[in-house]
Amino acid sequence: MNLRARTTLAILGPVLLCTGIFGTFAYVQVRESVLAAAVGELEAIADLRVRQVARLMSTYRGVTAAGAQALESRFAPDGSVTPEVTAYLEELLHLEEAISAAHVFDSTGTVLASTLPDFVGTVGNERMGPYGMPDSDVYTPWVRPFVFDEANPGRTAVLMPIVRDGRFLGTLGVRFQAAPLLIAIETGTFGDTGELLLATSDDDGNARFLTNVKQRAGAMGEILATAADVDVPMIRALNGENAVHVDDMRDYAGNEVIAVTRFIPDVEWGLVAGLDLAEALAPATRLRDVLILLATALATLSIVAGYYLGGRLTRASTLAGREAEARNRAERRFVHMLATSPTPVIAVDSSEGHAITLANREAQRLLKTDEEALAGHLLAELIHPEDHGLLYEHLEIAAKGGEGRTTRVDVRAHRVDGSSVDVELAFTPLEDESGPMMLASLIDLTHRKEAERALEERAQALARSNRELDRFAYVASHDLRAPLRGIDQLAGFIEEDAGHVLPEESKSDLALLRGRVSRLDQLLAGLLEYARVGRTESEPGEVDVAELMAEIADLYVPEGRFRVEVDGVLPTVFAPRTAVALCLRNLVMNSVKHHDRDEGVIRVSGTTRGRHAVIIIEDDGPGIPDAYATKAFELFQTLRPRDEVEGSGLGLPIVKKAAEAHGGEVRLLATEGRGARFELRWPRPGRHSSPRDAA
Amino acid sequence: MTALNGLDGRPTPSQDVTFLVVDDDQVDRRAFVRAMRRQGVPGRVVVARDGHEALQRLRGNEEQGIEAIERPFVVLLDLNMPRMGGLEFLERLRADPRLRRTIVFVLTTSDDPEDQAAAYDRNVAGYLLKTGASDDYEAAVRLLGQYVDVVRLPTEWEL
Repeated sequence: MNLRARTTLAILGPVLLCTGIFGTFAYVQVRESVLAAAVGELEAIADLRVRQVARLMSTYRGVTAAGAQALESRFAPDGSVTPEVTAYLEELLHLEEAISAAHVFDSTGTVLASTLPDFVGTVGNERMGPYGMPDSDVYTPWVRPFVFDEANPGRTAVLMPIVRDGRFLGTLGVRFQAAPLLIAIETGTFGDTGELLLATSDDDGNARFLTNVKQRAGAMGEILATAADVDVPMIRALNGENAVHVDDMRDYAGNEVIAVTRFIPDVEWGLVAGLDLAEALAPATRLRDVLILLATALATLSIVAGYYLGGRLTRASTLAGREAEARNRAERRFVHMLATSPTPVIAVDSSEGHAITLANREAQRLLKTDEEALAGHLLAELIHPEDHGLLYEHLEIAAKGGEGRTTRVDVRAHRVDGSSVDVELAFTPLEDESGPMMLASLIDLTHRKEAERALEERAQALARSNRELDRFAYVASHDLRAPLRGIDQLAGFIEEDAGHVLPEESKSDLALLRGRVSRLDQLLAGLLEYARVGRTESEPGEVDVAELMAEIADLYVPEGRFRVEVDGVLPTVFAPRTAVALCLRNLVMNSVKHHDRDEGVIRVSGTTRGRHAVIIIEDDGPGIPDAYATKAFELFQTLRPRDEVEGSGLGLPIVKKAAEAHGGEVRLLATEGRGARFELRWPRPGRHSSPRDAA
Repeated sequence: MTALNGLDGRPTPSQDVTFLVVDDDQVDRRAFVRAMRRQGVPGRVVVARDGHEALQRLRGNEEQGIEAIERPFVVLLDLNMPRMGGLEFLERLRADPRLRRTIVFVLTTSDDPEDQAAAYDRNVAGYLLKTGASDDYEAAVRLLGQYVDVVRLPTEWEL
């Protein structure tokens, strides 16, 4: 049985039980009170009718008694009937409307006088003996019960002895029509099915209709029920039963009824007040219907609620189950991943000392221990005491950082065997059902530290070697220049001291000697300058090329012979001023030095290209053939013999080195025909950081 | 060790100054002396081949029979020398209470800004460059002649 059905039943059961108990209880209570009320009403009606009959009969008896008394004196002294008696009888007829006849009988029942001229016969009285025989001092009128008479339906008679001075004179019989009695009874019924039956028993003991309010069951005189039908209320009533019949009572038509039976002794009639059980119980039935409806509604509601709740519960339990399963699976996976992770990982709790709760295989291997030896120890016990400050500081940062943030710190970790190892601890806070915890992965820094040390050593060696090289180039050129100067000076001394005695040829040789010395000196000076490029320049800054160019033209370009023309606006560059100046000067001097005509023009223009400023310097000299474009920037390369042009062969290499040392570039652009065209490129001021020289 | 006094018979100036030329290059030393002679700068010239020898000359050494140089004097110092270079010589000089006020002119072929800065850090009176041209010395010596003529040199050690 699924959860939905179980839930439905769990709700439906109690609801139906409660409704049933309450409903039944209420129904029984209401039914009883409703029945009691109906019975009470029936009794009241029946009793009222009985009382009415008794009152009327009492009147009839009174009338008859009074008549008998009045007749005493009207008999002759010998007790014979006089005409006064007959006259009085006639008077009696007018006394009460209901009186239809009056007679006087003797003790044998012989009619002595009558208001009915042809009335004969006797009236038997098996219960009282001879008519009119007094059986006590007190005469009570005797009511002859209703005798069903086809000719005179519904009549009754009251008999009263006439007695004078203790002597029986005769019996007065007054015949009353039954109608007033019946009318009294017939008035007033109740309900749709309520009825009032009046019947009398015939000589065979059968119940014969006197009246029936609803006229359901035949006319007056018809047999209502035979004497054998002992369970019919009317038979019971005629048998003298004054009772209330509620259970299992059916009327003459077979309807289930409740009934109240009364026997009216004065007239020996039976009276039944009845009501269909269904009508009597109508209020209770309505309540029952309401209750059933309510119960049905509640049941329906229960089923719906049960179904819905069951569904919800099913889904909830299914979801909860799935979630729990997923969580379990995720947890198992997490633990497995952690345990088998190739990275050493330990987990610590959030207690003050951060006790170790887990250490995976790699962590155990790194720390040369097993999990049992680590369990319960504090994290700090693994770390070199001097690094505790760092450790706690970063643990705090990590805890504040929250999940997903990793905090790293390099510390020295103790191994169980007493050795130590450099590790990087990467803390990641986590939270699970058991509260906050911290994962710490350990990265063995041994190799990294070794590599760093090796790299550092190599960098230092390189720097040392660079310094030595610089020093070498510098010292070498200096030390080479010193003797050269000595030679020049000595030649000068000789010229000075003995010039006047030397032959002309020797003087010429001396001049040549000094010329060669000077050339060598220039070469060495160039070499020195080249060695120094990138070593001595100041910090980079914004350099106004136009201004610098003007300065250089002023200082290094022979006035009159050469003209420097600046086309447009020259850009500003970002580099050490001295380096830019060195480049511009060398390029300009290169143009001047190699020019082959008496007059020349050097054209300078600038533009910007991306993050670079480009300066073009071109002349109208002989130019450099394309084949030498690369060679021009190599050390000691000249295109013409030094006897023709005194060049060091170092100008362009110096430009190249100076430009490249500071993020710049120099190129020889192709030209058609004459003229050399150099493109100098420098970083522009702005976003980029200052390029530092490599030296 | 060469002491020249009143060269070419010119009149000895009121200040009889001694020039201590510290240079390992004999040609340079000669060039200096020749320039003095040509410019007519008076004064004695004492030479030392390196810083070590220069310190000995300044302090004197009785065992080796070396007398300390008479005051007033001016030192002309080359930087690149064997045994003890110019900068180290300056260090020792400035550290010696008896010599620390000595007037020193650097006369060198080194135009390295680092050398220049280091020399001035050690309180030299001037940094003169031998560029290689033969008239270098003429200018330097002319300046020195005027300098010792005009400037009052420290004479007594005030300890």
